[in-house]
Amino acid sequence: MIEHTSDPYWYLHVGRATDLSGTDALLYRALEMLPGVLSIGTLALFIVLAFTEPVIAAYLTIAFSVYWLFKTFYLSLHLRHNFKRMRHNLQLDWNARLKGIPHEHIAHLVIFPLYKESYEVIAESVEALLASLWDKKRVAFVVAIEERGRAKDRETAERIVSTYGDKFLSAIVTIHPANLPGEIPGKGSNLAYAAEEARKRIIDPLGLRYEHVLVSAFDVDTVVYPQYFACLTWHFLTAEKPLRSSFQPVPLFNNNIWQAPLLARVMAYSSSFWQMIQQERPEKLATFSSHAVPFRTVYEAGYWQPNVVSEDSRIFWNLFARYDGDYEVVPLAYPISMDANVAPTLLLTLKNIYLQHRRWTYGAENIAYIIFTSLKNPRIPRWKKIRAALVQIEGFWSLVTHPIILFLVGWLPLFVGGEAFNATVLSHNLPFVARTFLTIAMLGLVVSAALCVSLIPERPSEFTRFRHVAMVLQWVFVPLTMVLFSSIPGLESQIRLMLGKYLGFWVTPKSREFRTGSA
Amino acid sequence: MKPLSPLKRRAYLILFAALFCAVVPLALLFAGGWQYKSGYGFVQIGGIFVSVPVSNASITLNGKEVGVSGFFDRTFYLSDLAPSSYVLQVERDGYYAWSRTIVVEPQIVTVATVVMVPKDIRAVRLVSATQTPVASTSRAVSAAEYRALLAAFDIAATSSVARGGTVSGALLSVEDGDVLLKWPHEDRRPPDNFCGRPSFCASEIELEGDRPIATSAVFFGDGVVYATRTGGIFFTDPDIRPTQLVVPLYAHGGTDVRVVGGRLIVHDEDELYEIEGL
Repeated sequence: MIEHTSDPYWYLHVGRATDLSGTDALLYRALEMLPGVLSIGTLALFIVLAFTEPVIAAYLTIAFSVYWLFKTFYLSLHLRHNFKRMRHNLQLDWNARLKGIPHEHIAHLVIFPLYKESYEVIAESVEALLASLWDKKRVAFVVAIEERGRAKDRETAERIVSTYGDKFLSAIVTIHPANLPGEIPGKGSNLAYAAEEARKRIIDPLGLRYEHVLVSAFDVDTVVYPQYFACLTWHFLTAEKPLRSSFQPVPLFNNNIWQAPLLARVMAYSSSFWQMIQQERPEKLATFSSHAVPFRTVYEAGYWQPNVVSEDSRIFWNLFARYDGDYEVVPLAYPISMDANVAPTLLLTLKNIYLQHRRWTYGAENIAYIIFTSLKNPRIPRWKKIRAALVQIEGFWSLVTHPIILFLVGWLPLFVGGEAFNATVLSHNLPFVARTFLTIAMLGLVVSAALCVSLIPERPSEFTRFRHVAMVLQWVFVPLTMVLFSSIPGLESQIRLMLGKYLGFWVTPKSREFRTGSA
Repeated sequence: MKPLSPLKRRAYLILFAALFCAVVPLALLFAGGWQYKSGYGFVQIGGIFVSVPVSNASITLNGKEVGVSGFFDRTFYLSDLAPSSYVLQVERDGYYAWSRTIVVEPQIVTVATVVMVPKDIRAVRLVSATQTPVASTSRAVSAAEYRALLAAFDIAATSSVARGGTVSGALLSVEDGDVLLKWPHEDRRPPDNFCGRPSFCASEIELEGDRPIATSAVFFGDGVVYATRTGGIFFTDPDIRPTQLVVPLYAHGGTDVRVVGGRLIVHDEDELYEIEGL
């Protein structure tokens, strides 16, 4: 239970309504219900209108499809620009750019939370650190395992440290104890524990200054590109407010993209493209998945929140509240590579994609947090509070409702509108008009397909050219994936929040064993 | 390389917001049926939805071909029609021409379900297998089947309800020599067959013409088959809109007709005939 204290930021690590008491608990509970109420309310309104006022419902569907068309074009421009910027950044010599900027004092701490992943997965990530064009004696890494994990995790972690540790500034294994009070099992609690251990065992003993250490909180499968550390350091040192900034690379899911089945590939690139779009809209950007943050900053805020599912984005909102709204994400427009979802069977892969996206869309839990902390923190400028809340509310609302309206509910008047509606010109024109706008909007997918082809790694010899063609054709499945793997898991997340059936952390299985998949 | 500048982003946003504001009203007006028609100005158009049961049929509207049905394309939405009266015709070799005068009203799509009746319709005499010899214009059926077909005529023809097709739910009856198709559901709009114009629908259609000479009537295929006292047996498609299609099936008067197991059986004195090809 979190109580009012003299600490002005007593609310900083509120995870859910049950952490609070009295009116605060009631307020937080109401705010948790907000995203679900808005999404279900919108869909219910559409369904009721389809039955009772099909003409209005049909007009709304058409207006929605026009909105979708222009939104797609608008976002495609952002995506295209970020793609160009990322390609430009990949070609830059960031070490050369750092010449003339004192940077020898900067050290990097990389944390890899490991839970049941194989040695090969983390070894590939550490090998990439080793191959990076940066002085490895200014890079330390932590393999953060769980006490509740397998005994083999400890073996893996120790083997990694013994194999690679001496090539770096330092390398340690941390074991996050099970069942600590106020925590839920998951990445956030593991990261927080590992960061504090690193402070005690690496940063303090080596006399590193907290403001000179940059923490990269990675997923275990995160493979850095050669100039990641140089690029990150340059952005840190040239940022307007370096200690009031998190740093976000572009997550590509290229590690095993050739092995991934079709729908997994579409989802992987869709996720990357969304992050690329957000990189060009930094005011809407929160940290996602693997990201970096100054140690001083995260230390003062008490590290990653140990009692939430979406710790990657929550850390941004923690820092936003902790620093009274004076906090931002600096987009690096520089990639890192992670694993796409690949399981032994297609069905299992699809299940994993669903569960992963359910976890990601559970980020709607941040809405209650943002509004609650905004109410409790009078020092955050009002316009920043309102904008932050509205951006998040609109984001999670549109994620759930728009695909369902455009591809399912919006067509309902044709089936339930009744004989009188079916006899109207509007009823006959609805499919034609809406479909026309949606088809033109799909042209935006041509941009996606072209970018996708440019981003995929070289085709391994075991795959035929057909696989390459499939990488282009796969984009026709976007409407399906949007409904199945964005809207529906998003809706489930919001319903869970609404009903107080809180989600636990689900670890996406990562493996190097599954090398074959269907197109 | 710098991120997309706020100025550029704002310009894009304003551009697309302006396009959205301009396109939405146009899209809604178009979807609602508003169009510019030369000679009419801005009018609310209507349409005709035509479904054709066979392929290779030519569809003409006011004498101008608007489509040919194919193996998969059996439905046509004739849109952009200014409110007026149109003559819709469907023709195919080997079938009776189908023609209807359709009144198009603003915002409304009128449904025209075409009934194509082949010209090659035969009455085949049915004989019990116990009878010999069997002529080439007759067909032997088992004695039990023959008895069953005959027994169908022992039951007097009563009113029947269409279980499917274009007039599903309509009630067919013969009253004082008139074949009447009634729409008994006051709470439901009748099918367009009952509507001389979209805004005016009748609750009853007289199917056999001016002279009340019908003795029985049954739903068969996409239409109605009725027997008359003197003229024989006829097929018609139930539609109040002119011109009704009436096809003679069997020329002798004083006959009766039943549908037995999906077959159209005629009882003429002591003989049974099956109408084939319809």
